Amino acid sequence: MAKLGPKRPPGLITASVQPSLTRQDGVPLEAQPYVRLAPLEDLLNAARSNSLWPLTFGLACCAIEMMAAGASKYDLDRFGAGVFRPSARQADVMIFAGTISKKMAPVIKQLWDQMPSPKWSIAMGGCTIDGGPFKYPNQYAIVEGADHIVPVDVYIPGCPPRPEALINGILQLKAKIKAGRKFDPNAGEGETK
Amino acid sequence: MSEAGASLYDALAALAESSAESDYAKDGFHHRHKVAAPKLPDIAALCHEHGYVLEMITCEDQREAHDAMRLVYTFNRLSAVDRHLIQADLPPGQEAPSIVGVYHAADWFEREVYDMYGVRFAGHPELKRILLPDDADFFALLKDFGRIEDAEQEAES
Repeated sequence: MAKLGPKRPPGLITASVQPSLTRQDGVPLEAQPYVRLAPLEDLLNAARSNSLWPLTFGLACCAIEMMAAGASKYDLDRFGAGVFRPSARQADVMIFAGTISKKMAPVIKQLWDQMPSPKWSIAMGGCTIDGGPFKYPNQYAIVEGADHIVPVDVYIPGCPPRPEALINGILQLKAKIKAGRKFDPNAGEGETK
Repeated sequence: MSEAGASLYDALAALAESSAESDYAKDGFHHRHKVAAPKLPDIAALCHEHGYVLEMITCEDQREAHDAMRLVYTFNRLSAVDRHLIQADLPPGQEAPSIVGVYHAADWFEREVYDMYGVRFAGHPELKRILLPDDADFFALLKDFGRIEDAEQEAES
């Protein structure tokens, strides 16, 4: 059965938190105030990271934990990520909460394509990391990992992860956004800055 | 057994190849019937007339043991539980008659049986894949689809 996309590099990719100051390397100190737009980017990134709007989108049992995280006890709104949007056009983070069946994969890709950039995705639970409990030889129904469909920013292990784990994942994503990201086509594969 | 339950059993027994009482406490069915596949719409119509609901349709791959695909229907009554198990053996490759004309609920059941076992239903309004992707080229629950153990041994060797 054909894979839907390239295999991701091994190892857990988590946010690499680096101070944005490192991006000034190579620029003469006296020229930095003139050529660097980093403060504006930092401001934008701070705004983006503090108003993550997830898509209202659950695939399986992990969605129950996602709902619990959004409800009053765990309250995702504390982190600005509780505004679940009913339309992909208004959302900027997709939380893969549950098993991805091959029947569902084209729909998920379409939803992802409908989301405006900048956008991020969180793979929540074992199924979205590599197929989880449904991965075995000759299986015919499951996409073995969300990264076969879309690029994934944060992986949250667990089956299902508790709401605290999801909140931690969102905090990791916030840290990743605040750290800034270089869109360098020559960057090493799997490298996130 | 109530009056209506008895009358349905008699009516089904008249159409079936063989019928038998069954121990509900033991195996969950009050009656078992073996019928010829072409009579399935008549059987379904009888059940419908008596106010029975279609609980499920499924299939068994009995090609090795009986050279047949065995269709399995379950009918039940909501007022007083009275479960009828209907089994119909179908030669492999042959179409079964659809009962969507009698029970609309059979629509998705029959699509699922087609999806998983490749049994086609004549007279179904839209017989296409329901659970597997539309471009799937296999029937996943057939015995010769592929076994987990075989694949594991291949992976090891």
